[in-house]
Amino acid sequence: MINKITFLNAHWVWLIIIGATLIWSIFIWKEYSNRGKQRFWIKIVISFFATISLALIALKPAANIPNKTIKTVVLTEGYNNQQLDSLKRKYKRLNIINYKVNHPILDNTSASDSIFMLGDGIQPFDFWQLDNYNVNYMPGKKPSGVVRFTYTQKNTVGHNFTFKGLYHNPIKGNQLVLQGPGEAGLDSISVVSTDDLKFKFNIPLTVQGRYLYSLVEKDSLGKVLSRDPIPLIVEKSTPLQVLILNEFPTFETKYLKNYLAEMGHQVLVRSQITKKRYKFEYFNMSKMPLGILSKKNLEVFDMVIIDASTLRNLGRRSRVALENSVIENGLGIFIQPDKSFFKSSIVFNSFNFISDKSKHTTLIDQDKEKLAKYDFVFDNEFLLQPIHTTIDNRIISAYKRIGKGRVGTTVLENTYTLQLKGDSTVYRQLWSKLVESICNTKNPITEWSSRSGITYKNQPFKFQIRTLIKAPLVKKDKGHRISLQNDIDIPDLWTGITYPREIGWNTLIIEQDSTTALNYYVTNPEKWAAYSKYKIKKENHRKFDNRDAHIVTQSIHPKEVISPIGLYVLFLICIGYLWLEPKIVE
Amino acid sequence: MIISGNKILIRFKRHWQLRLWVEVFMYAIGVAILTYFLFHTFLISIVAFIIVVAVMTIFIKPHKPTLQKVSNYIDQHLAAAEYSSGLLLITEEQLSDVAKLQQHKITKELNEKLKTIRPPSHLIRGAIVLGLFAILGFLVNHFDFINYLQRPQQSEAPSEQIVFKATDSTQIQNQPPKLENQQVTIRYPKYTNTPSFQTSEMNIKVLEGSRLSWQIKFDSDVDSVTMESLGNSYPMKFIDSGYTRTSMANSTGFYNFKFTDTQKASYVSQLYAIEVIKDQNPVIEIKGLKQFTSFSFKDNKNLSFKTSITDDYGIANAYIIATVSKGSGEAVKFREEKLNFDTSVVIGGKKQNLSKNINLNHMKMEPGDELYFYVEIFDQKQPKPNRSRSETFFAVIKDTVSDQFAVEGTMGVDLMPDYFRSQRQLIIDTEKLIKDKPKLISQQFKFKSNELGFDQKALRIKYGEFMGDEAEFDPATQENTETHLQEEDHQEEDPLASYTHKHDTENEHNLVAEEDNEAKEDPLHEYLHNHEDPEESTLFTQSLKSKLRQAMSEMWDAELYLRLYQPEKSLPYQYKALKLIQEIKNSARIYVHRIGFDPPPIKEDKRLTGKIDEISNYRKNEELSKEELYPTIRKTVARLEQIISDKELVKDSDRLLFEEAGNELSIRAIENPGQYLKTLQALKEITESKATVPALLLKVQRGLFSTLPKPESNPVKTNTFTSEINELLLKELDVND
Repeated sequence: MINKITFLNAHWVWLIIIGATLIWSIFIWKEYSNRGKQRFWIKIVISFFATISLALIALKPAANIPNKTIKTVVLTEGYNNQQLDSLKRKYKRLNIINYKVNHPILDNTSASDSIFMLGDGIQPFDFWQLDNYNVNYMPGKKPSGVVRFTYTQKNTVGHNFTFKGLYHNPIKGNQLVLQGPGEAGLDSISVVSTDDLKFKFNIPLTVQGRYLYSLVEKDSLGKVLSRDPIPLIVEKSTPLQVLILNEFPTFETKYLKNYLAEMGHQVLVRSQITKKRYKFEYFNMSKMPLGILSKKNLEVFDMVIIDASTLRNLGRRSRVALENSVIENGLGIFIQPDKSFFKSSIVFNSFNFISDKSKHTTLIDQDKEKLAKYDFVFDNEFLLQPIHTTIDNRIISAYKRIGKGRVGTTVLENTYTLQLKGDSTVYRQLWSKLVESICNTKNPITEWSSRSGITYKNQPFKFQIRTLIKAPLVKKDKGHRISLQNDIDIPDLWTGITYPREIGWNTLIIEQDSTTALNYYVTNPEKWAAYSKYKIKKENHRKFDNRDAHIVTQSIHPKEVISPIGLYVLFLICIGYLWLEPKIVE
Repeated sequence: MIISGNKILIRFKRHWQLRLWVEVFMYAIGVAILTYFLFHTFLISIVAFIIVVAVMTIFIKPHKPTLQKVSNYIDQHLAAAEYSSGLLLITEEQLSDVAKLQQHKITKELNEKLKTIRPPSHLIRGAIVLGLFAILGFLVNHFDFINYLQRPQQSEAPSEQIVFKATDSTQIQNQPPKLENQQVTIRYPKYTNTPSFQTSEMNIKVLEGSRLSWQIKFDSDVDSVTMESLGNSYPMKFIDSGYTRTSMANSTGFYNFKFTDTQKASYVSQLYAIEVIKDQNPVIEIKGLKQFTSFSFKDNKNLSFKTSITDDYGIANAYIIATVSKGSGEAVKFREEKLNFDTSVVIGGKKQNLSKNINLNHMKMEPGDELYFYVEIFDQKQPKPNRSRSETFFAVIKDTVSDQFAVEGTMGVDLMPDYFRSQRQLIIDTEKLIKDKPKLISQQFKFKSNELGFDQKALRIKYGEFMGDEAEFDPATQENTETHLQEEDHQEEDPLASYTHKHDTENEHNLVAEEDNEAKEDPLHEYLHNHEDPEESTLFTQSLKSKLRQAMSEMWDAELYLRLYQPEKSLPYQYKALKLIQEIKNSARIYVHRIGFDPPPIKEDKRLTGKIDEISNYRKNEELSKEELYPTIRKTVARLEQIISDKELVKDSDRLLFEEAGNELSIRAIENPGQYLKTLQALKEITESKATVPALLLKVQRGLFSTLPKPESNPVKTNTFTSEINELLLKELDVND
């Protein structure tokens, strides 16, 4: 059974051996004058035992205890005392361990085959420590606070920043305040009941830059209870290149081109005056010739807005060029419909309409405004992507993907009357959504993404890159390189992990492409406490709940420290002899 | 020597009174000392003294002790008096012998022992009070208690004293120069008659055009002092051991002081506002007058009213501008007059009540004339006075004769006589008759049909009159004879008068009515083919006439069938007649329309040729994109975020940025100082000082952020990563669609 004995302080074994040898050799050197006598040798032997017993005390021997199971309880933050008490009642020999982040959970003595885990759970990066154990996860109460939220970290000036969240178990009378740069209060919501609160903040973004918005919880007296950062990157919008082709000038086009031009986009309007004679208007751009449409001269544009009759009367070459530009270059086409357009689909043969009596409609996000429309709505078919829908789920504007590009239209008519009525905000929102969903998109070489949500200091930050670069090399801003893992199936998908050390904005760059970088904000582990607890809990559930309770990979017996009293006694006897012996001899 | 008993008592009484007076004065002096120490003014202290003396006199009543009381007091307090001091008050004659003995004895006793008792008073108390007041007063004076009390009030207005902050506090070695004196002299424009005044408050609110001169003094030498205002800096002149600068207040703005000491360390003050008030326009209020007054010819045509005029800095002049209009239409004539008020205007007065009585006769107004007038006042503002005018008031003398002026809904078209309408009425009646035919007995039906035929005839005859046909039949005999008689009597009267709308003589409304005028001479004039007048022989008149004839022949047929009791057959003719009459009306309408529109001549040779050689493409180039508002404020907000989150130091380039942002912000702050002044001050502070506090940066960022306007929705290009797999999927979808 000796092989079952292990030493708990085995990692000090060399130190102890050297120390013991040293002590023994000093003793030998001290007794060296008595050499040759019999008592010298006896003394040497006895002192050897004394040193050995001392060394063994220091090494802490332990032995496996067969046929005896000890249950272990790992207590994590937020555990329930009652659960612990009932466990204690059930199992007499209960080994209780307090979990510390990033520290070994189980030392050698506490090994047992089944582990109860109480509280919120352990950090996902500590899971490996319990890989071979049968873990029984008993979660505590769901944390109180904002446990879930979503928002887009990267946004554009002029767009709305939408922050949606779920406040679990709220305290009545408290307030959630969204603060912008300089702690300027932007929006707030007060808790009126103790039910779970779903909230949504919608704030237009005014300035470009990297900002730290924050969600502040205040009590009813206005005292700040917590301040959690919301990192946000606001980019400047890039202007679009829009080509408008019209058979004749209309008010609709006039207001649309003015709106787009005022917002800084480059707009070219070509309206026909008479046969083969056109009026060209260039807004925010230099003059360029535009005769017959060709793939080359359409290359410049992100979007073509064309009225139905122009589209019908388009020459064959122009039409083919337009179609090819859509399919191959991702050009967006918006068709300004007329009455006959709905009855006979002319180009791309794509939209189907059903007639709908009402001449007015209200959109889902503009529910206060009545908009004039043709007496048709879209037939909801496969591959149709709605842009605007009504409250009763009828599609008012939609597009279809054709190759890389999109072709869209709407059944709304005379939207410019909104402008005349003074509802220019609604008009702008309407058209900005339409134009944005149809127009061509930028195709960057690299796309960064991260599913980590909030990044904490000294905790792993996982990121993904989709890139066309063959073997990307990712570097931190300090210059350290991060190794990447390529996806087996998808050749342009790479993943990496880094452990940020500094609080604040951090940057990851690709060596081959300096134009794109991933900016991410690293915060204190105390921030977003409820959120991170909730997330850990979910991870723990995922990890431990579905595991089959019976697959214990190896039978682990608990170990117990052998009581060192025997060694102490041995040591005492040896030392006692060595002390008494000279006196007796004299 | 024995003093007589009575005298003893009197002496004692005086003694008592004296002690009481002394007590009263002790209190009074005590209070007086305290007040003197408090206010350092003799006058207040004397007043306090007098008040206390008066009050205490009422309370203590030093004149109170009478001889009776004195004797009572002695009886009670001096055993030797044997309760007999009262005897001393009585003359010997009134006493019995025993009493005389007793009196004598008491007199003796009192002479000896009266000194042992003292009249009741609180001299010690008085002395203590006096002492306490004196000590308190001294202490107050010594420890400057008053100033201590007043200090909190000063701290409430910290802006009073200009506080200079060193831009780089680390470099300061010596004691920085202290501000000794600050003052602004404000001289209002001369016309306001406001004397110039001085203030140490640096946030100034002044009238437009005032002269401001600042003067600041330091206790030690400084190198230079400048005043900075809206991005410019003006050096201050060194005059009389102080630095001064004078400027004219023309617009609202901000300023601050900056000085460099002899060691080249610079200090900046807070930001102060100059708010310029505009001289208000004078205000006019007219009482006792309706906006519109009308008089009849016989009335006493007097308009009297009171005007109260006010201005903030004095009125220069006030008068009434009256306009008399004579005649109407194109013949209208205007005459303008300037009238003075009955009461004269006091130049420079701030509020005045003026009265005026206008007699319309004196204005040489006749019936039908109108008077418009308003009051106009000027204030004394230089160089260009403010002017106000009241609303316009009207007065009319009603004309004795006036045309009835009627406006039809379809003016210019609906000018035909009423007969033309009755054809429609006839049709309606005929249709009704046809409809009712089954209900009616044959006789009734025939009667009604005949009646309609008669009406149709009457109508035709009336048309015939216009055509020059002779009336062969008078529909309503009695009336008709009368009209005939009248017609014969008053040949010159217009037979169409009752059928046409009469308009005023000049009549600019239509041309048809002009024909009516001609009809005055001859009612048939316009329907006849008058060969003498070349203008009459137009195509238009011809067609009108023939149409009318045609209409009449249709009416003939209509009447025929009505008379034959066949209203059904009559109806088509009636409709034809109606249509013709409508056409006649419409032809008039077309005529009216045409005079308003003069189409350009058509080049017949070019028309519809389809040649577009001369038409060319049109190209237009325009920059419509709006400038982004407050670009540097935006940059500053972003930069501040960087400084705050990365804990960076403020660089010189940042200061330049902050200064520009400050200039942008000050434009907004001028309009709305309450909202932005704090931010502007803080921005100034971080621009100037070398070391900055994060809290201050946050404040500036918050302030700047809140100035930015809400953006408008704008479509943007989104990023999408396209890879082989995506494209494959799209292709797959396409194939299977």
